[in-house]
Amino acid sequence: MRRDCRFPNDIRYLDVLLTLHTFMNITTSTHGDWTLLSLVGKIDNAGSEELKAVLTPLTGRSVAIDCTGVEYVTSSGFRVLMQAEKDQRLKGGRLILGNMSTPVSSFFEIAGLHTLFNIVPDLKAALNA
Amino acid sequence: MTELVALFLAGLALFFYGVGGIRTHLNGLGSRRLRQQLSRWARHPVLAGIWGFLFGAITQSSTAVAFILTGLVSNGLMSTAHALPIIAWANLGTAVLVFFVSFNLHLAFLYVLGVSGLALAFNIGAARFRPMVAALFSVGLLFFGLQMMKDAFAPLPGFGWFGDVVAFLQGSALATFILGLLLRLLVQSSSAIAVIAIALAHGGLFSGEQAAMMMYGTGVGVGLSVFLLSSNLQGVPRQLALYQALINSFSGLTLCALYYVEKLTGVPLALGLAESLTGDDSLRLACAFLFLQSTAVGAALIFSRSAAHWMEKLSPPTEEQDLSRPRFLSEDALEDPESALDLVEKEQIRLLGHLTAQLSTIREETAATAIIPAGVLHRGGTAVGTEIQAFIRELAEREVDHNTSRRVLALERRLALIGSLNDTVHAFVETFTRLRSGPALEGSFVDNLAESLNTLILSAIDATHAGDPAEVDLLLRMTADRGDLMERLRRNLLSGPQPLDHQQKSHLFYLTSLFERAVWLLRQLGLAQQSLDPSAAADTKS
Repeated sequence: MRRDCRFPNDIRYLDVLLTLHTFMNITTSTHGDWTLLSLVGKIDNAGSEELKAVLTPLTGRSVAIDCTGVEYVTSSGFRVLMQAEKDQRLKGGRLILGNMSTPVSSFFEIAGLHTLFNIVPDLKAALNA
Repeated sequence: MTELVALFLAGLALFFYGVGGIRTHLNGLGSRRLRQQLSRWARHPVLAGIWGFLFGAITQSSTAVAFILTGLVSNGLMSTAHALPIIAWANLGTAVLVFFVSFNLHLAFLYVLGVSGLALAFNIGAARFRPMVAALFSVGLLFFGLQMMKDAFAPLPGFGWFGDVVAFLQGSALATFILGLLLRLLVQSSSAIAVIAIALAHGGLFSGEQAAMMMYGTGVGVGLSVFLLSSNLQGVPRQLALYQALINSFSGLTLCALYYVEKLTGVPLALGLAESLTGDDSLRLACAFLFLQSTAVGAALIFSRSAAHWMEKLSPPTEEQDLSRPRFLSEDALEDPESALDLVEKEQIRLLGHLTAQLSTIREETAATAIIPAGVLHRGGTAVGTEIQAFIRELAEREVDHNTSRRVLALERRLALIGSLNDTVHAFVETFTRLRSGPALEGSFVDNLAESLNTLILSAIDATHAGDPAEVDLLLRMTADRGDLMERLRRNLLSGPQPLDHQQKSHLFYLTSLFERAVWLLRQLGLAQQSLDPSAAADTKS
């Protein structure tokens, strides 16, 4: 059935949809024992769900997250990363975050998370070491 | 006649202004002793009955009592279930006036209005009594308005057309019932109409039966009047108004039906009983009015168990009212202090949840879908905090063992921290909104502050909820001092490429200060959790 077009409401729905649905691209590769996840985009509500879906099966293994392409992290993103860190610790796995831009790095500092994670400036160097 | 209409309108305006004023100024009546006294009386069925009766007798208007209690219930000073019996008994109290018609309260309320008004105008008295004085002034205005409405209709018998109406009604009981109903819509006092009815019967304009039916009509009139006056109310206050409307309509219709049964069958019922009690015509009519009000109380007693439930169905609490009342605390729980403290913990965690809900209104990904305004959440949190505080204090007054006493103190400390967090987060949200409404800021520094604060509060909820030492430790690590970092970030922002005007700089400084304060409070919350669960402290140290 065709829905009547109501402009003001439709515009609002569109705003909500655009606000809620942002895209994050996750590329998975391996580097020795490490599974390397390269993130591009915002780790917001939608992005954190995608990240969680990728991280959960990797619990207990060595995971490195390349944050070069991360533009922004919301509290949903922080929470998924915190849970992943906790799970890895409990299951004997490892989690490293690296290549953060200065703004993203300061996001972690402001949230007080920089001491909870193993954050390295150069991920490749850390993995090769 | 034009003057009388103007007088009536002015009276109506003062009545509404008084009702609103009582509600507003009762916000300032934070005196725990008064609160406890009011709720203690309300909890006891006999005391509630006496209070309601006296309240009705003094105010001469059960409608006014219902609206005054509306203010108390709206501000969480009393529960709906406890307010309903008071309203019911206030109806009976109004009958006192009919027996003592010479008792003039107009003068007393003029004194209340005058003294409280002067005290407010010239700032007389201690500041802590000002909300009480302002509430009294509103009460005075309300009654002054009622009196003006009564005065507007006092000269009615002197008008020729009124005499015609009375002549037209001669002999018809149903017509006087409807007249009583209509008059009650205009004159906000059933007892005043009852007095008029007695006077009309005494003057020979009405028969005794007609005068009684005129009084019965006021029952339904109260129902309609309260229904109309409460049309601008929502939720809990409307519940009280609807209750008042229903029990009065019930009593009016019941006595009207009894009159016709008595008339048709000849079986002596209400009027027969009044006749058997006294031979005096005026007293007989006063008894008829007493029966009307007693039936309202009887109906209230019959439905007392389910009344609150049904009223809630008819007029569910609004979001703000719902947020302003505790969800877990109950008076019965006070009997078992340990369980009572468990409920306090649950209520406190709920308050922490309100903080993240406040932040949802400004966070980029949730702002569009956040339904409840931050101000409503803040006020709701403050009201619930006051309730929890009173509950804890009541617990502390009881004899409890050392461990419970220690837990009481720790939870009291935690409540104070949550209260400060509620204010700080609200100020943060307001400042954030002001900053956002100005010229656009580059970068996402302020958004990141909001996201970080949200993350920290969620971690605090985890630590408080689970009581897991690892979660508490995590919270303490996350909330370590970051003064240097914040200072550096502030400097970077101010010396950055984007020019900021003075107001933006000022807001930005304030926002970062609020963020730091919130982080400090969250850290104190973590430390308070350790004192609640010493094993957490031991684990952290190890």
